[in-house]
Amino acid sequence: MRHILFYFLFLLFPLLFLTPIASAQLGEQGGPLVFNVTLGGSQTLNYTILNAGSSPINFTVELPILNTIPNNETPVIKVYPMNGTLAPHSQQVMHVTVFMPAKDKPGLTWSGGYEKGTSGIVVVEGSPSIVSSGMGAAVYAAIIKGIIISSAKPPINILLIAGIVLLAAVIVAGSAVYYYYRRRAAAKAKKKLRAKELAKLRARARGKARKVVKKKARAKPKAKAKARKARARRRRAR
Amino acid sequence: MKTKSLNWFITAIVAALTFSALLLISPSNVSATTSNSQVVANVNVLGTLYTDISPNSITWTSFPNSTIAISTMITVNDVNGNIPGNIFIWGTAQLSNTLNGNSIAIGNVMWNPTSLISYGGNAVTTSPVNTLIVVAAPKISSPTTSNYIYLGANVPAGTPAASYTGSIYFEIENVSGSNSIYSSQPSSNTLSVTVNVLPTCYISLSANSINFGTLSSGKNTTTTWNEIVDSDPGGNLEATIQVAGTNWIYTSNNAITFYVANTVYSGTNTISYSQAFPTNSLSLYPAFEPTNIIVPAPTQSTSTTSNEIYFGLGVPGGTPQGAYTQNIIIANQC
Repeated sequence: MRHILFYFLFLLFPLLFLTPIASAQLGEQGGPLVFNVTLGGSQTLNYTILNAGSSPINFTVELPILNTIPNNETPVIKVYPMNGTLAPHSQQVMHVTVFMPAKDKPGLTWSGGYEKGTSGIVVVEGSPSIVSSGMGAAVYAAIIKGIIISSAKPPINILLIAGIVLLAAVIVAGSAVYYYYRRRAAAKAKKKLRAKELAKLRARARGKARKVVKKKARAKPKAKAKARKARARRRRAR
Repeated sequence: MKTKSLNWFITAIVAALTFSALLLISPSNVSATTSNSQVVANVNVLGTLYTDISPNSITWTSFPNSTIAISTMITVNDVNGNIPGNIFIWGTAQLSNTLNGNSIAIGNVMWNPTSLISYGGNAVTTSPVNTLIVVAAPKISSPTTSNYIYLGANVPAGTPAASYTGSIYFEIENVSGSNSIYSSQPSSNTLSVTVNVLPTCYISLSANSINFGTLSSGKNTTTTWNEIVDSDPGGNLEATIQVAGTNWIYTSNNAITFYVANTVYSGTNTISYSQAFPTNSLSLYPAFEPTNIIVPAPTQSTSTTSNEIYFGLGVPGGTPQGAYTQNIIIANQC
């Protein structure tokens, strides 16, 4: 019996040392993610999470909790992937996109993971939001990626401004040309009208003159007769 | 007398013409005195090898305590040689960074005749090693022959974030018995290797559960603390510990709960529960509580660093008797 126990311990002892200790070693690329996002725009940055251990790690992502700024909307953050499995000695690139509300003020800063009440992007082993049955506390390991977001004015679009200036110049020049030609056309029309009127007047005048001439022409024989009659009367009177 | 001398003269002319005709008719058209002066050119072409590699420099970007798969292909060419040879490989003692004084030993760079999806193969050493990868003999029709060798690396735990550079050398050698024919000059056989190590932190917890034992309603754990060791196994950055938790849930009835803040943390086990509550109460996950507890940056000499965080619990008065459960999340931020 003693021998059996001895052999059992003999077998067990090296087994204890040879059995691989599977330890999860979740890691992340250090340093905060610093965003500078234009109002109404978005920006994407990447970072890497790692499993340096010999067993796979199932992970879930919790979105960051940022500080709030009165009268300004908090930027919206999307992370991809939101869960997955990290194989032993493998890496995963995390894509983080920040959408900046258009109505926010420029020059504001939000952060997560550096102040109380905020948190960065949390990558946690397993799913700790589900509480398993049992007694006591289950402890989960996580890594937090600090995040800093600044709002920025959209850059001045020189092309847009140049386009607007050019358009204005075209409108002004077009209007000037239009009014110039319109005035010229009006003047021409007036001139034409005047010429017409003048012609009419002339024609009228010519007509009147002709009438006068005719009248005169018609009146001449009568006058001659009258004169003859008058002369005759005068002769007779003598 | 005159006729006689004329005959002699004519005979002499005929003889001269006959001799000239014979000379012209002869096949080699050379004089008898030059028929044996042919030039025989001799050249002894030596068995020759040349080594030329492509690319001449590689850059890897990686993390401490992580590996780079053996998949970086190096083409080793023999340009204008004429005998086959084996590829030999060796390197500088280390890939080093002169600014921080740290280095990556050359043994962390591995080679393999085929591509591997993970780290493995054979370590590069400081003395030439015969890889047994054969580069065939070039021919006149194809004066360049080549073969491939694949490289990868391991970045040791605790290697500081920096750029590390070194050289790996290749040589095609014809080995037959004790005689070796080395590559002739000029050879471009030096590969410049750069490893950019990025800042990194890891987390590994020593225990994944806490049993707070049995507590009476309205009582707390006083000076009894439950320790969790937070380790950074192989990173290169200091990390700050943050904690969060879920509400305590009654195992038999999930509708009965008590608040997460009844669990407190401490960087030391010498204080009492009442000293930690409520300033060190856990916040409700996913909002985290910064603890100001630091896990120091590992180094190459101290590749794993750790710190302890302690937890205590108070049970609110009126809590129904029974088993309760909670999730605690311990996070490293760097």
